[in-house]
Amino acid sequence: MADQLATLAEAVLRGDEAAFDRFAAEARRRLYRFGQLMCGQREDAEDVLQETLLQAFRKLHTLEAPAAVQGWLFRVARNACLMKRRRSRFAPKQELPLEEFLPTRGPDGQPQVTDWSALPEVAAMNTELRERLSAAIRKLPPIYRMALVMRDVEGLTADEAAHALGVNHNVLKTRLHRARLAVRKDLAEYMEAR
Amino acid sequence: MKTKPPKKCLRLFARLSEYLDDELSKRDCEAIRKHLDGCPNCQGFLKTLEKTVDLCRQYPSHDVPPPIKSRAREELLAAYRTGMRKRKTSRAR
Repeated sequence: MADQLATLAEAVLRGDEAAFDRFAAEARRRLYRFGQLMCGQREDAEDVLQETLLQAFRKLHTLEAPAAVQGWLFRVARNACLMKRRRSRFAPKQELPLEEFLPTRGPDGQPQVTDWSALPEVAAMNTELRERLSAAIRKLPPIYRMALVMRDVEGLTADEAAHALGVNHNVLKTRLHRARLAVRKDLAEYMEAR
Repeated sequence: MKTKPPKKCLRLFARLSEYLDDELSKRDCEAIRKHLDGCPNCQGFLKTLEKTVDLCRQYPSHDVPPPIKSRAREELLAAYRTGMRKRKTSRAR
């Protein structure tokens, strides 16, 4: 998928206008889910998508390595999301302390880990589970959400995600781990309530 | 009343994602495996974290973006053409 985007980026950078629509369509497809998970609102996601592509096409001529287009594009998308968020409402900086997700033992000293074997296989993810997962991701503070969506949902490499987020690998790892723990906690509550 | 897990579990807890992503040294991985072998609590927790990551990786993308409106497309094309003119100019220098 990243290769297809890179091939199209190479063509548009050569000045091949015939590749323009295909590049725009592929980039829109890749960024749409990211926009939806980051913005929540469909209209906002579409605004972010258009803003990202506009910025991307304005700056595309500065892209030296077409192979790096995926990380580069997500970096533009990240900036567009942050701008949108700043414009829409006051956004306090939120942190997820590790202690909040510590596994605990009950008074009897026994582990308190819910049995998840009843969860449907990944391939058969049902609507209820998808909605629960989507809500858990959307609930994450933006910096954690971006790390998780880029790495685990969109499948960016650690290098691409770190570049897109403008952070080093250790910061990315910390954010990703806490985001996963928060989503896990939400899904555990869902499993307990079943 | 809930109690905190032992210190060994806490140390492992902070590194579980790195373990899942295969980002730890061989020595650290061995130490974690050894701990997991004797700790059903951490084993269970790791399984649920792994499942969480699997679910995220398979997060479906049923929605396709709406077709691009012609005005929006024109705006993008104009931005692209302007950028390419700048690229040609800078390369000609």
